[in-house]
Amino acid sequence: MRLSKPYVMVMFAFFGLCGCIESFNPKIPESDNSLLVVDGTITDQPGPYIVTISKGISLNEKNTPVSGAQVSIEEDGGIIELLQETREGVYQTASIQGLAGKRYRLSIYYQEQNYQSSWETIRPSSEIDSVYFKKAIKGTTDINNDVIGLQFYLDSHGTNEDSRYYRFELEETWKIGVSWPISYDYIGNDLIANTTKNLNYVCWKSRQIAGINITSTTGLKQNILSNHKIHFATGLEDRFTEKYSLLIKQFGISEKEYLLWEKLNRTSGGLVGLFEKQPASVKSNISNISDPSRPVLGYFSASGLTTKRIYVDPDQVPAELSKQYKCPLDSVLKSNDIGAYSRNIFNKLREGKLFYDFVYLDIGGDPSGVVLSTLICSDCVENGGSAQKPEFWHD
Amino acid sequence: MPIELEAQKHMTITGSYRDQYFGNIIADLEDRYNLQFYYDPHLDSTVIDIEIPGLSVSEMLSLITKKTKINFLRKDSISIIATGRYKIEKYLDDEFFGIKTNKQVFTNKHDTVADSHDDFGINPSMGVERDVVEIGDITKRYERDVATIVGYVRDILTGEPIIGASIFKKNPLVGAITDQFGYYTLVLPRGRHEMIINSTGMKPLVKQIDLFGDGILNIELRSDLISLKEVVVSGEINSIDNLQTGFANLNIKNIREIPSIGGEADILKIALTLPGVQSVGEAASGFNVRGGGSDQNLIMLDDVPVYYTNHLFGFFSVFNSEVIADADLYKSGIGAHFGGRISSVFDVGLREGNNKKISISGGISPITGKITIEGPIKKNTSSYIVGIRSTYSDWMLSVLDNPQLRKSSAKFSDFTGKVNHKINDKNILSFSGYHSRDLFKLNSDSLYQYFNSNAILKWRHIYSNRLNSVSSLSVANYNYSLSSDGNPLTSFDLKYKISDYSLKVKFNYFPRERINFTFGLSSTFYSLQPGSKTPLGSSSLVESAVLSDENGLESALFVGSEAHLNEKLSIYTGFRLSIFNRLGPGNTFSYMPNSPMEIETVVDTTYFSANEIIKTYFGPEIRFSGRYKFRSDLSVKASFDRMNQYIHVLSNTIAISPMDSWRLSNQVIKPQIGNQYSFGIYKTFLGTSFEMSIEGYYKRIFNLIEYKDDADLILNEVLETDVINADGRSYGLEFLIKKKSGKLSGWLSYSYARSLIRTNSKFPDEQINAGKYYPSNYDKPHSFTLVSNYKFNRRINISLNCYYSTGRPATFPAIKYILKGQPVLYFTDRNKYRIPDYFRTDLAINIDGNHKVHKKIHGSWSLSVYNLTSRANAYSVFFVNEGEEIKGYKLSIFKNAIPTITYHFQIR
Repeated sequence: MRLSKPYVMVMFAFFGLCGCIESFNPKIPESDNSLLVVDGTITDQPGPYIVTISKGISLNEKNTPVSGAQVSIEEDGGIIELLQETREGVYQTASIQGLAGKRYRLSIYYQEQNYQSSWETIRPSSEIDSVYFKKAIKGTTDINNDVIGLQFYLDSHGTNEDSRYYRFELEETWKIGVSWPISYDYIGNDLIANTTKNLNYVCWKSRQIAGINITSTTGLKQNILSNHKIHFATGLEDRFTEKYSLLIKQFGISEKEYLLWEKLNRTSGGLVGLFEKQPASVKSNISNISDPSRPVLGYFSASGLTTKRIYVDPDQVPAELSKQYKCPLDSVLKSNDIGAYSRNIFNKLREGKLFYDFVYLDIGGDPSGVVLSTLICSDCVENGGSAQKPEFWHD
Repeated sequence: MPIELEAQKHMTITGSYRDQYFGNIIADLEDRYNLQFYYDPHLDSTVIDIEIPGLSVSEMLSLITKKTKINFLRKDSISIIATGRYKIEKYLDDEFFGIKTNKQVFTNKHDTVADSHDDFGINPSMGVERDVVEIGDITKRYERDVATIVGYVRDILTGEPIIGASIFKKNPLVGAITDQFGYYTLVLPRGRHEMIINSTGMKPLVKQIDLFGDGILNIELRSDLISLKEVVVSGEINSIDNLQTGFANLNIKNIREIPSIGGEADILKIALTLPGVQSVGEAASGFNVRGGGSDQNLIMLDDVPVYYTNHLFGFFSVFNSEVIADADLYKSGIGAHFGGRISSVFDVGLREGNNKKISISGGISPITGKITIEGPIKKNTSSYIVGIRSTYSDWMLSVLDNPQLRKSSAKFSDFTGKVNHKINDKNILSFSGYHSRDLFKLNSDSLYQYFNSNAILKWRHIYSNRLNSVSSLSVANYNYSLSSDGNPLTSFDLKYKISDYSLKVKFNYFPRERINFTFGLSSTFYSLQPGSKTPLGSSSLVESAVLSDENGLESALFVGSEAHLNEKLSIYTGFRLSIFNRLGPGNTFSYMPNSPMEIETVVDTTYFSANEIIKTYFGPEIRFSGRYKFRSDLSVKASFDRMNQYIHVLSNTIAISPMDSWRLSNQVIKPQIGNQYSFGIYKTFLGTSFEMSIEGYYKRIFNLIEYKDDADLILNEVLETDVINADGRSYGLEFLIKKKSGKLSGWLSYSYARSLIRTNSKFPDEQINAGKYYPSNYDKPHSFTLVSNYKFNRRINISLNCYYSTGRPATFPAIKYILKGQPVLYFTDRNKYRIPDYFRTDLAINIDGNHKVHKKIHGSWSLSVYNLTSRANAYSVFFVNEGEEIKGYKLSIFKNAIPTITYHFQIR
């Protein structure tokens, strides 16, 4: 039962009337010795499964990958598979397949130390019935400026065999276009030719959604999630202009792993008030067998996995969300000094501007000038997209 | 001056005084005309009915003399001396005037500071009654050497009993302090005595008595707030003389002058200014005394425990200052009649209503409004007082920038009432009740509510001058609920309730001079509904979870004796035997030996039916205090306290919250036990103007409750699997300098205090910081407080307070790592680091309205500024992942100075 948020907010409410949050950087000495960080998963879906190993030393340094460790995953009463290091610190399975109801264990041998996880049983993840969305308005700290977006909901129903603890990983992908597709190159003297430029007019943006997303159905009579708020996507960016897709990976995790995430969420999730529990060291299910006094960070997770992908077409969302943002165009108009006009255009082209079209002030007459686009408005790769169509994508 | 003198001669005085006190008439005349009166304060209470139609000074004086037989002497055109019954001829003038100032027989009302080096000396502002009161039967005067006087001390205007007033004679000092009914008992040698009667905010009084035998001496004191003279407190039984170490009395009259947040005078926040009292943070609920947890304080309102003492999660205490008389805080030297909590006793006393006439008072601040009505039911015999307080704070939420809060609502209200009835001189009955309600609705789908409901019936009976008793029956109740209806499928109601029913009988026995006994018994039945979660609405899928009721019976027998062995040495010895029976219904679990207690290691379950004894604990508790007085201005004291506690708040959050639950000891969760050794040196300077003390203590706490990391304490059926047995150790030194009299008053304190905890388990899972000592959440080694008040004149005073303390301990992360794509933090040692130090300054200006006594409405304004220096004190510190970097932030509740205006009125 987390009651902290309301309390902290009441405190603000009554007297703060300000978000009095300031930066504070205490001197925290580096730990004397580095700790091994292990992040491994096995699911009941086909692999390969990945285990990454690194070393953590301090708060502000990136963990260094650990190379050359012997990593294996063992099925209780079954095979043991040795993992291959595919990248520095990244180890991958080749053939082992996780099965619901079976127990698995991770073992690591590194620098004459043996590490081992406890046995973890895969419990199936419940069936995702549907994922749907509604237009929603979220308030912001600016009282006059609410944010509009789509609230995604999830319904799922599970059997009593299925895990009652859920962790979600979400990945969003959306298709984008460009404001001004380029057809011609400007040659000079109001002459144009079919463009030779290789610009991308259709791209996809893709993003892992950050944040620890867990829930559980313990305390309910049935293992059912209904109207469960899974994600709020704002329309501030160009998400809903072409087509949007949300992939939900639902992991059925163990109670132990759920408690671990709950604790990590509490201690890494920001605002901490006086009605919070003390942050405490999170215990991994992996231990150093050679030297039990040395803690290991991370987790070897065995979980059932179900997934669901949904698509959102622009006509399914309110117009204010699907409205295309149009880049402004630059223009150069003819004057009496034709030479200056021409120089002006070529200067702009040299700066990276792109010819988009002529402008005509008299119908049927000569062009009165040109309008120019920029690369970011005419090439979606420049706008952060990828021209590679994702494998799963279908329009 | 000659011009003024000329003007003076032709001064014409008008005025109309219907049944006014002499003192008030004089004050009014002095206000309006350039006149100065000198008179013996015992004339103050002479009632005069007079019409002055426009007379010269001499004509007016003659008129008063005619009406009252009070004679006057004009020293010059400004100064007038009231000579009382004696008519003094003019030629004695100068000599008389001289004698008067030297020997201090008469009073110059505008003298302010007692400049007497004779401790407990009569100073110029005291009222001296020269009439000798005869007590006892003169024919029996040779029967015994000593006699017992009983009586009460009351406010002359309101008839309210004055609690904590001291009545004493000096040389040698023998005295008593009035109890919660305003009564005292005093054993004195026969003969002539000069008794000094004193209480904060009241005008001191000196009475001559001739003691022949046992008898009654009732005393009425005049409030200094009404007559509006400077508060001059000199001579009372002070820290040099009383027996306790670690004791403080907080008087509500002083508390109103201290700046407070939102303009709410708050007795709990004032307690925090005393050395040895800490809290975990600004506006945190609860307080910590000498390294003890906040559930280890016995906080009582009119002798009934209050289970959650804060409104709005910590901003205000549940005590309405309008109806409170005073509060006593015992940090050590705790009498055997108190028990049940191991750190301190905070005893808040309720006022009795005015038993002479109806009076209404109230106050308005930006956050709260309150009104108090009091008056006689039967004049001089029975009275009532009712106080109601409520917030109208929702408007503050609606203008906030937090979108969730704009749709939220937060309110509180409380009701306090007391009726008392004097059956006869030997029997007094009183009944008081308290109810509070807090409501917080978050985002319009979660509703949090909590309630306190208390009531007590008390009977004071005087058997004889040597024996009296106070008996009481009380009930206390605390409950909270949380309703969540955001999603119909997961809507639920969560409820918790604790009730206690208590019977107490306490006798006070005064067998002879300089010794008294207190003895009695108490018994409390606890009934808890420790938690239930039920589905809300027909479509809810929430499974009902109801914990079985918990019952317990805590009983105690106690006896204590205070003996003044000689002039210098006094000792208190007390013994309390407490017995706790944990009663059914309920299951108890036995666990596999040599393994941590977990659900998996339960080997056997035993069921106990209702009110069957599950487990019994005995706790012999010894209390001792001794005082040795080297000189009249220097004493040393030592004390030992052992306390047992059978009921505990389960809270693994940094501060306790209203949703934390009280639970009873069971067969596994042992009673908490505290042993405290303390000592102190006490000294007064410049008469009694300055009081200084140094107190030290060492405290051990056994069976402290700590929690496993994942402990979920709400709806937890098998508590012992989530708690860890721990020990506490705390020690400290407290310095205090107090100035009680004069224009400038207040105190300055510094304390050095440590508070450490150690877990006791041999299993690594049940250890915190590997079983080593670590600082508790409220371990703040250095703290410093200044509380000061300066009175410019009768109407304006200024308070300036400063607070400093070391930042509270905190746990900071050591390593950042990525797990399943999420950056997370690894924390190591608990409470290894500290948040930044705390410093705050508050200022208040209190302005009393016009003091015309015949005015019906008295108004006063208070302007206060909280956090004057706009320092953003850290409330908490937290860490956030920002891309590659971990950023530390501190959160402050107050960043700016918070000004408030409060209006307070009284209708008489």
